[in-house]
Amino acid sequence: MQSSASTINDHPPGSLYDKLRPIAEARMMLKEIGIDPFGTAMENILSPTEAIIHGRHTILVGTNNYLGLTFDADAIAAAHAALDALGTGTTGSRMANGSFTLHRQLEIDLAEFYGVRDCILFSTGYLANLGVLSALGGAQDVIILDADCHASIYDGCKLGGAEVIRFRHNDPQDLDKRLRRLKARAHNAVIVVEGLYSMLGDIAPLAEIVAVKQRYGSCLVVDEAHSLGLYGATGRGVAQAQDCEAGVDFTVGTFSKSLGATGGFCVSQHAELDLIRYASRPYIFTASPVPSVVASTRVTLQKLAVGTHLRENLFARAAQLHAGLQTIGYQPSAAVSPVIAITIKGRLNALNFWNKLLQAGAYCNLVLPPATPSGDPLLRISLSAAHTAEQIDAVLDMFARLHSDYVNANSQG
Amino acid sequence: MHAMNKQELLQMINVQLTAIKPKLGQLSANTDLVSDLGLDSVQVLEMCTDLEDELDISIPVNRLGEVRTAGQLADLLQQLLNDN
Repeated sequence: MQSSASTINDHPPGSLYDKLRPIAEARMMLKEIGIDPFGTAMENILSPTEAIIHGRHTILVGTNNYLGLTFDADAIAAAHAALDALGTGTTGSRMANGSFTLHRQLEIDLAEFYGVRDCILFSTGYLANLGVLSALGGAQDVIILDADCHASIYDGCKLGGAEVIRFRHNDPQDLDKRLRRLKARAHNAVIVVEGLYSMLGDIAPLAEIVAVKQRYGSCLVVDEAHSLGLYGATGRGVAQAQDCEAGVDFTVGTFSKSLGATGGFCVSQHAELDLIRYASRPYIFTASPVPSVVASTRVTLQKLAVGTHLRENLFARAAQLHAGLQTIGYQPSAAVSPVIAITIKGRLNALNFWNKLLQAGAYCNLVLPPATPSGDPLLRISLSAAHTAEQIDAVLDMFARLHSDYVNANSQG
Repeated sequence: MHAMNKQELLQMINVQLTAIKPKLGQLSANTDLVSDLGLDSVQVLEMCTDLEDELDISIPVNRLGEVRTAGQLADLLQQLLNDN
């Protein structure tokens, strides 16, 4: 038996751990250069947009805290009250011993917010996709998903065993072509897209996708994880903004972004949603959301619904940063949205750039291929309604000082 | 489009791969897409999207798990064309 201090190199080739060797090598490389972007610890959180990282005051531009509600006083008070009244955890799944009236209240809140029949809560957004897609797409079914869909969507398809076909990102014509090829099977096909895509910040042409779906009589699932609270008159997402909600069969979302907590949900007009509850292993076999999280989410949902001023500030800061980056000489992703991405060619260049930006005082996300749609490393920035114009100016100053690094990296190819 | 033999399909794969790996040259049926050519999963999927267009088929992502070599990909394409 190996000692607990052994490394992967202590195991002979062909061992159980061989599959982890590429990860071990990548981790070793990061250790050697002394930069680790995949677990940066925030030592203290000062506000929705500021933290202490490596002992330094840092502006956060990579948290997905789109509406900046994580420190909302009313939400914190509600969480405290639930903690005092109902305890720290539910110690069970909804199906067994972990179903509280509070869970059902939030389900009713969400169904009313969306103006649909019903809602199911899940413990995370990841589990919401797993739960819904595995229950909808059985082994005999076809799921057609946008090529840029999140890993949770792919994993949900895998759990249910459906045949999975990709269509070109944001391309309704390609979707149409693939449904046509399915012939009679298209009628039961499940189409899955996202509202706002989390890597490049572009939104789906949902109204066109709904039109294609209706031609074939298929089922449409829209994951509004990143778009909830950002788009639409009351923040319901891209389907509301594009006035095509009636064509969406199931909407999936998360509490971990605009709602400032953790958890997930699915809402639908279809009565069958309640049956999914009983067919969904990620609902049945995991502990339910803790009371304090459910209580704070009920409050932030109310604030999100009337948060027009939050959305206005969020998009104003996004426009400020996007335009400022272009003025300096960067080429940010095309969409002016609360997610802005910058390509830095070469893994080492991207690592160094990300680290220099952190040292300068701004935290964003580094995404490396194959997790990026373009095949090149990305710096991913996400904005918050809580950002001030002064903070964005400060971040732009940091980017200006690093512009030569960007030029050098991208000219090397 | 239905009467393509394996050699023709391999040639089609060769053309698509050359777009990703310009110095590829002639590949064989035994060429391993990952270990010989160093393709990552996204590159394999992108190449498949172009093949799907040319052949007017859809390749289920779950079926790609059984594909390691160019020859196995050609076999899968042939099977999908026959099923069509």
